Amino acid sequence: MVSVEPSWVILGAVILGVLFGLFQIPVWQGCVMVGVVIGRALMTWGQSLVVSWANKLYVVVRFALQGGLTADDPGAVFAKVRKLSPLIATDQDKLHFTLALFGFLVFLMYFLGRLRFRIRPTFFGPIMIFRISWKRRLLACGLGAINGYLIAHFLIPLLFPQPETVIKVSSGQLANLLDENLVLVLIGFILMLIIFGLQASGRSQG
Amino acid sequence: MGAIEITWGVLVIAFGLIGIVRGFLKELGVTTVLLIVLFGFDHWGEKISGYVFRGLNMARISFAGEPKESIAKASFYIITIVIATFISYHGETLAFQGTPPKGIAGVLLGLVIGLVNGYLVAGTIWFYVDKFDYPFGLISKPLTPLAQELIKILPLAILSPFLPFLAVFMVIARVIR
Repeated sequence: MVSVEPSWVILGAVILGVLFGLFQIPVWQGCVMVGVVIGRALMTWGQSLVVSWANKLYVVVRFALQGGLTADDPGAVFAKVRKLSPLIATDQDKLHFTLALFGFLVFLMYFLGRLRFRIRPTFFGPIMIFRISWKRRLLACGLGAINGYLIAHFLIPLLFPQPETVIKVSSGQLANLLDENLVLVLIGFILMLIIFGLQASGRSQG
Repeated sequence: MGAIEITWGVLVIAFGLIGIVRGFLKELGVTTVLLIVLFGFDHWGEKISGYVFRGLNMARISFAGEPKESIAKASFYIITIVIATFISYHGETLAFQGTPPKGIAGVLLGLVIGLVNGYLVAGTIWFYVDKFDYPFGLISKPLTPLAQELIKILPLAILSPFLPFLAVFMVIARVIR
């Protein structure tokens, strides 16, 4: 059994976010943050709704796969499909679905950001890199750190529901630590947004 | 009578919309003023509101008894924050110089900083109304569970230790600008 300090887990998530941000522009990190916030909000307040819609969609897809309206007896096919057990039934299913949907939303927002805000890569020896000013890179690192923190804040209570797991992490202590520092993270985000906005603003004349 | 959290939410959203219209840089001027006022409240609010209460008593404006004292003190904080907000929204002098970002980035920045200002103004008013136990009789108690949770995240409940740093950061940003 490996014993891990809760603060090290948070630090690990933040460092991963910083490393990811190192190769990004701030607006892409902002898109990731939007994905994290939407995913978190959806899974916190709309989980039952999303799960019920996913189950309904599953029934529709199964109905379509078995011939749908072109089947010999659509009514019988539909009745048969409706008797199937739902796709997401147990708590374990819900956990997997939550994680998958959260990951999907985060990646979707990231790729949409990359599509919408493109920058031209340049050659750096044999590899292609993005030429980004150090200020923007620093800002992206900061936003990456916040993203790492927010993702850890959402995922840790889901992934470590027991007080202790095989890797010995006191998840209750970890969750408390994450909650306590959330205010600081939000303040940091607002300050970074202000810096980003001031950088993006034009200078006054004279 | 009404749910205070709904009023609070509507006010915050209204400030957010105002932020979109006014633009990011003007909103930052308001944020600076509000942070300085909150810092003043946090450090000297008790003392000043005490002086105001005593002054009113000396002027024979009677505020005898606990409920009246709470009305006087809550009124002091609310009137001060409303005046500070009005002046900072009305004037141009504290706005940050330059032209705000164009397009969707400008809209989003204006919205976010507007929401922050709304949170600071409406949150501070709610904080002091709650501190003096809802003295105006406009809010029916007990509060809903949501309202009780929101009280824990009102500006002066969470920003208190950071206010000097935030105010200094904003002033430095304004000067550099």
